[in-house]
Amino acid sequence: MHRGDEVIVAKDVWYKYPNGHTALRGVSLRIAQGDAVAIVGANGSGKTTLIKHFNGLLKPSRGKVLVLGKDTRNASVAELARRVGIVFQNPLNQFFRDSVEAEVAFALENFMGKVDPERIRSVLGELGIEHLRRKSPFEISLGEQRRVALASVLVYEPEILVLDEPTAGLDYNSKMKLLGILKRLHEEGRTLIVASHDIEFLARMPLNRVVVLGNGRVVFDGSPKEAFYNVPLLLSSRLVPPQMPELIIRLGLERLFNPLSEDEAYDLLRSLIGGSFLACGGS
Amino acid sequence: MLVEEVNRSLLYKGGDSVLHRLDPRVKLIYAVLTALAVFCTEKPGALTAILAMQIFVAYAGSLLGRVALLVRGLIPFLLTIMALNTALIYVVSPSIEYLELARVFYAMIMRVLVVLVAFVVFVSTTSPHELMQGLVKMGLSYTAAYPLVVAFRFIPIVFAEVQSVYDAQRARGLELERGNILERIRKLVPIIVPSVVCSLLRAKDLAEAMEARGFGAFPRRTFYRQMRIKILDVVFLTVIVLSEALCAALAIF
Repeated sequence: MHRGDEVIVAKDVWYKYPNGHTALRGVSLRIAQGDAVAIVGANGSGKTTLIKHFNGLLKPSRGKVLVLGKDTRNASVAELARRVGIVFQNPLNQFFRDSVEAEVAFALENFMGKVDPERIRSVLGELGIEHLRRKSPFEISLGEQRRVALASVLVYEPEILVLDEPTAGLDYNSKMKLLGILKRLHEEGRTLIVASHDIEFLARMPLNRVVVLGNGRVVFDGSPKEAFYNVPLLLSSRLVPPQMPELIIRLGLERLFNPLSEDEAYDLLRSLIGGSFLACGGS
Repeated sequence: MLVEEVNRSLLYKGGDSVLHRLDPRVKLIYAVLTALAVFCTEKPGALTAILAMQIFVAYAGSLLGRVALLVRGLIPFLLTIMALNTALIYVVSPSIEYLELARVFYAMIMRVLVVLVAFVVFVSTTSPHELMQGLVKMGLSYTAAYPLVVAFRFIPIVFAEVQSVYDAQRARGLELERGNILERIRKLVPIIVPSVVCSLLRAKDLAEAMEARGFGAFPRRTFYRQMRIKILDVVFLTVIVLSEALCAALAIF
């Protein structure tokens, strides 16, 4: 697989739950190797339903989903999950062992048939939770539990990583740690898909695309700048722009420049006004 | 999936049928009486008559679809029980005649179906809250009645939770459909442990939230909605009691 090759293709996907609720109404989407895509939408817009199609947990009622060239209807979940790692919202839905280490080993046992303790230790180290190795996954904080859930997927190195609401319930510090991890994975060329409505977090993520779902349809598919400066679009998903775009829009400067985060705004200002002026401020 | 079918057929279904308008106490008495009636007799005719009546009652509440769904979901379970029973009968009396065996089975199937229908009728048309109020009116203290309601309310939530757990584990490579029977049973651990943990946490949260809102502060409580026995209730109960008593009596004498 090379950067730019299509890894996930959804063609006119419809999904109807057994209870009769139609969650997806003709979603078409192409995700390429190395993409970092945010899937945004209000509650009930179909984000989680769509994500569950990426490893075959759900099969489309109509249309089709191709994952790395394979039709998900003809592949087992285990086969797809080996290459598409999904981290769900509630880590407590998966913990069942008495140590973090054993918990992280679970997917390795299933996919590889053997466990490499070095590999587990290095993943825990990368996520900054190596010291929790022998602790029960039930007696650590939510931020730590989220990282254990992430580790339990990262450990078998899936080519595509999907995160469902990864920041829900996390404090600021944990969010920034998660952001650092995602940045590194993106730089390594891993394909990232993040479903979230944490707009401030997404504004800081190294995204190259934002897909907005509304009522089971793709209502927008474009760059983060186009998405996060589009107030009517965001309002339709019960969102508001992140604070930096909000400020720029209020100042009426959105035609001049479109920074998404403070860092970007700082860099822009610096290059506009010149380093010496800002340097007087201290940094 | 079995779980899905059983779950869908046991949820309270809002509506305005005759059965919905009945007093929950009357429906409770109906379900208990019916269950007792089928165990008073073993005669095929009487059992068939009682089942026919239950089907009519379910039809009145347009619940036949749900009954069918539940029966379909429980078929594997029923077949297992029948197989075990057959084995047991042959151990106890190896010389049993086929006709007698058929009668025993017929009675067994009829009893299960009757109890199932009565249960579906009761659960589908009585909201958990109505049930609680009915029980309190019948003299049960509300602190004892409430856990029952909560249990009912939790059925769909727990089913959804188990589904999420199952999805999360499959995403990490768990394959329940592979391996021999012992391996398969062992593979249930990653499903059962998180489900139990999540249910316990949910229960703890609920208990705290209820205490915070004064649950149990006084030994008696009032209800917003009033509950009274109406003419419809009297008619329904009379018809049920008389006809079931008649069936049982005809079978006995």
